[in-house]
Amino acid sequence: MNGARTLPFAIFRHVVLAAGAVVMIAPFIWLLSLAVKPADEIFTTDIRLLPIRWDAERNFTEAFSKVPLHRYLLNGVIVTAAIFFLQVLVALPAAYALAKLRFGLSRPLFALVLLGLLIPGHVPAIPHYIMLSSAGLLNSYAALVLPSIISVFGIFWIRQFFRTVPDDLIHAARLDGLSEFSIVWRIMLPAAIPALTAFGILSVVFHWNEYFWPLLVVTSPDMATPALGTVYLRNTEAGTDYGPLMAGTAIITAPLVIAFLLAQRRFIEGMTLTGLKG
Amino acid sequence: MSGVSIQRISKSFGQTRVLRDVSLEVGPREFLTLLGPSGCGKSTLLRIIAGLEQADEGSIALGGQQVDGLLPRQRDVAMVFQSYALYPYMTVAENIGLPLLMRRTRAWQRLPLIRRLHPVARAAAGTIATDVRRAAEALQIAPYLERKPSQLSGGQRQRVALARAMVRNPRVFLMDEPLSNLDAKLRVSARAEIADLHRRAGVAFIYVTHDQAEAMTMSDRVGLMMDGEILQVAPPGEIYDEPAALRVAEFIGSPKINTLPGVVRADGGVAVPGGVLEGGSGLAAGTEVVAGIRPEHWILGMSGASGSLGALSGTVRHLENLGSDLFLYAESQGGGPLLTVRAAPETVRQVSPGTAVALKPRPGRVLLFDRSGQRLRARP
Ligand SMILES: Nc1ncnc2c1ncn2[C@@H]1O[C@H](COP(=O)(O)OP(=O)(O)O)[C@@H](O)[C@H]1O
Ligand SMILES: [Mg+2]
Repeated sequence: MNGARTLPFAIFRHVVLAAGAVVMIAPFIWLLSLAVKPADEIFTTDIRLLPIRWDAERNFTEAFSKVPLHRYLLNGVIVTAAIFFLQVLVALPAAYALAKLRFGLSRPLFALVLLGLLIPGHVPAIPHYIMLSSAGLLNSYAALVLPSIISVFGIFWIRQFFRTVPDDLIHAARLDGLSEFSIVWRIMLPAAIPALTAFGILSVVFHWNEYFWPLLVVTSPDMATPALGTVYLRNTEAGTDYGPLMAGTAIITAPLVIAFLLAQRRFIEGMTLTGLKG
Repeated sequence: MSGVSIQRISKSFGQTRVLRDVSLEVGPREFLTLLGPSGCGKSTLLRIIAGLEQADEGSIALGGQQVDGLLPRQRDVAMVFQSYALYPYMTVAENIGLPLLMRRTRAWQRLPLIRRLHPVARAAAGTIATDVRRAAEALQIAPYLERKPSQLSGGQRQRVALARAMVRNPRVFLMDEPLSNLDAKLRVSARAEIADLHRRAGVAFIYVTHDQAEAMTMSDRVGLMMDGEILQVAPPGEIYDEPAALRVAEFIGSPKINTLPGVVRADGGVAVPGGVLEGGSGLAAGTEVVAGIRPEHWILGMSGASGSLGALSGTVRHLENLGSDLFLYAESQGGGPLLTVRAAPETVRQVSPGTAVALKPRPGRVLLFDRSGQRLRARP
């Protein structure tokens, strides 16, 4: 290929990508901009990113004092961590059995997992609600965590990864005296770390941002997750006070963005895992 | 009491019969090699002995004990895999020590904190470390104990796999082509090492390979396997000199044995295209046979004039001089595929492509098989 053809194309490509990036990022830039502006600068007609007078401190203190933001963040950490931990606890043995054990129901069970992938997450919401309600568990961490601990996607994803682990490794472990559960935790778990990292990122992002389910089962603010917390913040009288609202939103979004920036490489590695050999 | 006793094992995967009625006795301190082309069922048989695969029929006893219902870990066998199957996330020491850890400690003693604090668990860890070090020193891998398998060369990995197998003193060793991933030079030195390991361990070894040099050099006996059957079990010299079937004769020996179709004559000669061979006495005249003559069992004559009893004449087509050996490929006057002849390297001064030669088998060195490939014993 000659330079005359590639250069214009490269420029064109970057312009398109840059335009896309601007569309995606603009709301966040605007959010950050509003979070540091005083109220009287927010509704001016001229567009400026940086405020004339910085008012970040008032907006952020206001956000923390109007609602228990730290409580929402803590709830978010507890709920997402518990969900991920339990998902792994369920998915690893299930994926191992589906990938490596030969038993009569193996194929039908895997078909059920695939079927589970096709069912939208909101479909079982009402049955789940009724079950939790009759167990008296509404408005608790259990209500937020339990419905999510079986992730068919997680089972499927890790099962595909386990298929690439050589059978000889499992045979060697059986001869060395490991039980099937020991094989899962001692041999398969370390091998699955890259797949688990990718799955973990997806799981944590999803449940940190989950709004629908917490809205159903949470009735008191001290059980609210971050996404629900933003709505509580909006419903207080500060809801019309855009500075603190944007400051609170920024704080709730920040942990995920920071985590992504720190783990960016792992994230991309995980997403391209399909080409990786065991 | 036998080391390993295999009784009438059969195994199918779906419609394919991988093992047909395999029986085998291995002595308590014997080194037995299963030799056969790839895909003939060698690995499947090893996995069945180890309990990793279930046989459809038949039964297995180890050291006189029936083990058919036992889990792999209850059978007390160790296996070395072609791929080595080292645990990639553990160090060399952890790899070698795992079988000991699983046998000498209980599950709760292996929990993270207890492992370090509980006196029994700590004592076990101490004896394990000692045994791991001893095994590693025996195989000269002690300097690498803290490395991960990915930081080792192929030869070192292979030794780690051997160390992991020998560290717990199993009653049977199973080895599935453990040398096939090594380069040629290393393979030769590793052979001696495995033979040495066998002497020290003093237990039964079942060694699987498709490489006849390994089988011939290391084993007490060789079992030749093809298409899921064991065709012959015999000491290396015997399986070479007295093959029980044409397939055995053709598989063992390199270059391959020469085969000529023939008919037994009334005088005990065997008429083959282009001449008559000796060795058919005692067989009924008119019996259709296949005569097999190994390349080193020809007597090479230089005169083109022949036709006398017991000789073939032909023309040299091609020479391969390996330095230690000279192989001639000669076209027989009777046609058929080129005959392979091993000659002394000095002969190279007398022959070149086009030279006319006379070939005669050494007395008593013609192997006769019936047309279905079974050996015919025709000694007078
Ligand atoms: N788990 C399995 N499922 C289906 N076919 C198998 C399985 N394992 C082995 N086979 C088949 O059985 C035959 C013998 O295999 P194997 O025992 O590995 O041969 P070898 O070790 O002599 O090369 C091969 O044709 C192989 O394809
Ligand atoms: Mg094999």
